[in-house]
Amino acid sequence: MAGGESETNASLNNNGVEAATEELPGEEEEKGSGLRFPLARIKRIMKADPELGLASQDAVFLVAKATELFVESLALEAYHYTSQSKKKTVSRRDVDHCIDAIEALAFLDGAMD
Amino acid sequence: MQDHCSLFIFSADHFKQKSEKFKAMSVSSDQPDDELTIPRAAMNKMIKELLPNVRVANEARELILNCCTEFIHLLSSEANEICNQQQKKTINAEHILMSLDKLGFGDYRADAEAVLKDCKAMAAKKRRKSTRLENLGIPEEELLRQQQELFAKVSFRMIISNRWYVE
Repeated sequence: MAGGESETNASLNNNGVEAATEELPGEEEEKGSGLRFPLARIKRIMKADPELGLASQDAVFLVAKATELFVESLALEAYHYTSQSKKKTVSRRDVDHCIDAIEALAFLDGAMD
Repeated sequence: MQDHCSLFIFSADHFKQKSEKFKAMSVSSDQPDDELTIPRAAMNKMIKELLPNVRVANEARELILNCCTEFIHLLSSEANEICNQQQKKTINAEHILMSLDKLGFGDYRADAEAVLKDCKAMAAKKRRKSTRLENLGIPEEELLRQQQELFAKVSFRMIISNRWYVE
């Protein structure tokens, strides 16, 4: 987790502001299994929920991987609607369509502004 | 401040209303982490690799980004509940996997479990690696013996030097 933490701190120091885009070298060890999202960030998002107790590193790993799979699923699914409507650009409406159509995504309904 | 507190308590009472709870979290400006998302660039890269020749509107990206955050909260909450039901103190991998099944993301299980195996293999490798660096491949018993030898040497030297000093 040390590598992930330094990514977060370094971003704050360099820009004075959370640099949401940069990933620094030294995270390679954590991402050895091909993870794209920094564990430290995932953990911070999880911890933003005050009800949440402790989570093992394995658990955070799994949340990270599941989130990647989620992005892929959602993007792919949205693209289906894009191509159906013969458009070339995936629009917000395509993503909304997914949220309406897929039961597992019902939790997103009304959670978005 | 009072309003924020009461809103938070309201949401805590209605734990099952998860979206309300997270609205409360984002309303309170005391929490610096309420704007937290996964890194945009990482997400964009993933989408680019998945859909190489497809344009994705910024609004769509923004929405997917925020959906990810909600997903993380949903998954964590569910795992937290399972963890509490089992009266365990720490959310573990199995809690997450069960949550995926429960929430309708059972498809993710296979890939997620594969990552777990890699994670464990990496952790084991790291442990072996650091052991190697620290001990130069010397087994613990040998190290202990060497340590004791060193201590013995030091004591002997101190005795000798003391004697000289005294004289």
